Amino acid sequence: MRNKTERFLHDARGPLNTISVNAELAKLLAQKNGAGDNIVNALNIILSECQRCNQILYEFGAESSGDSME
Amino acid sequence: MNSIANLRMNFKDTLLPLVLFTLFFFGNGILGYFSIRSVANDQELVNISLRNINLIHELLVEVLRAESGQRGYLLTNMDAYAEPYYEAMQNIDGKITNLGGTELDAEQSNRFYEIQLLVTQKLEELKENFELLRDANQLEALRGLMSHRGLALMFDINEIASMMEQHESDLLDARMLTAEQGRISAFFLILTSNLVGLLLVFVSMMLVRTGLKKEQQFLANLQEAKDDLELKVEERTYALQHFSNELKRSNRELQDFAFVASHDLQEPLRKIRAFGDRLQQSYAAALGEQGADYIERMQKASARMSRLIEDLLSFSRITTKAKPFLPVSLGKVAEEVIEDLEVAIQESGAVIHVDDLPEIQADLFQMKQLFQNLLSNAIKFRKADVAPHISITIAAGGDTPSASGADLITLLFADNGIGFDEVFLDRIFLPFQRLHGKSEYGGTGIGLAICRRVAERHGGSLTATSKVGEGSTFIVTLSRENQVFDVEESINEN
Repeated sequence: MRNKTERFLHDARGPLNTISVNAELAKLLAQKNGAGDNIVNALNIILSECQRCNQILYEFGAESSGDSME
Repeated sequence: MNSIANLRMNFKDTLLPLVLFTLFFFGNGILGYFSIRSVANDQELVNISLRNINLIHELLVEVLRAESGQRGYLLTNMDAYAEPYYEAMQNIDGKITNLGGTELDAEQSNRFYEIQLLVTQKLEELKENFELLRDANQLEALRGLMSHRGLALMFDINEIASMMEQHESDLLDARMLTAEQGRISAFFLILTSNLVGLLLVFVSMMLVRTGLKKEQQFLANLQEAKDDLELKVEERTYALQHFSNELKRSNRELQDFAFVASHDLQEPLRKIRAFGDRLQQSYAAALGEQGADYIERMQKASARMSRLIEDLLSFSRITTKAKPFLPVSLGKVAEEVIEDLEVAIQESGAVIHVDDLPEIQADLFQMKQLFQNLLSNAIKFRKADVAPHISITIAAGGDTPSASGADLITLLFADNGIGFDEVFLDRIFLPFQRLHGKSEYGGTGIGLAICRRVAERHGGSLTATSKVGEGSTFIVTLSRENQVFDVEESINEN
């Protein structure tokens, strides 16, 4: 199970990083181009949800490795 | 099995010596009997020779007594002197009869007839002279005596009697020698038999002792094997219990993880996709071309993550959300899945051949998952510029009861795709394992893991054969008469 979880976490972090990176780049571009606050706010929400997902994956990963160490 | 072999061994160990002993003592008895009989025969022959010698001697004595009595009477003319003559004349016939009745060889028989004739002549001569004396014709009697006829007869009788005695003496010597040799042979035979008997007893004792030792060793080994087996059973039971616990924990963790993934991850992910959609739809112009590209990439990654979570859920639901087995027509399942994959089939130009497939007891949804994953893989992993040729067939002899009695069916999903190296055979059935980069071929790498789990839940298995560049054949075995078997429930029951 640990291998499966780690493999899943690894596979899930891939797209999550892609989302974060592209959201950050889009935010920087929007700020640079003076796009509206709505766009930046939407991107901030996306980034904050990415953080949430990351936190969930981190916590589950820590829990999983903790279980296996028991 | 061992006890039967042991019984056979005991039977062989006990019966064989018994038979050998019986044969030995029986043979020994027969030999002893013949030896004793031979010694007795030899002794009897010796006795015959002694008797014959005695009879010859007695015959000669009687003839001499008759002659002596006649002469005494001739000299004295007194009846008292004639007594030996009368007695001898009475006895001689009996002696001749006795001698004629004994066992004589051919040579002795001839001599017997000869001596019989001479004795008869001698008796007649004695009788004639005696009658002359009785008639007071002493002169004629003396004349008869003086003719030396009686002397010549007596001389011949003596000579033949001597020859007969000599012959019987020779026979006696030879027979005594034979009897002695027979006795010695019998003695050595009996001695040898007894020694062999003793040796057999000794060997038997040794065999019995060895057998007992072997039996003791066998019992000790048996006890040791039993202890060893008990220990192994204990170890295996412990390992099985451990494995069962691990499996339970693994399944629980998988369910926990699926729960977290579905409830915790999908919620922020839905939010990300919703805001991404809004940015694409409402602010595409404001974002500019590059910004739109970033959002496009972000959305694709979101979709990939969603699919990953959905696949994980599907994988965990094979056992947790399993449905009861009902009659399912595999032909119909194939038909529906081909219909669902119509777009992909048309785009790739795939040609699919499906045998007449039977109806089995199965979970319809999972059968669709199995067929869909295998068919979509066959289309996805096709060779560039080569239309996929896919066949779903029943393996030869794959629709008959297996050796174990289970009514199994074996389906072959064959394609002419890119194939894979069989060293990765185990890896491709593990969840989230991929042989190719995500950019080459999409997907989460869990499809075949789901298929294997479905096949196993249906009392079967999934494996494959493949050659790089030539295609693959996935071999699915399913039980026709499935009973609901839930791994989780089974473990919980135990």
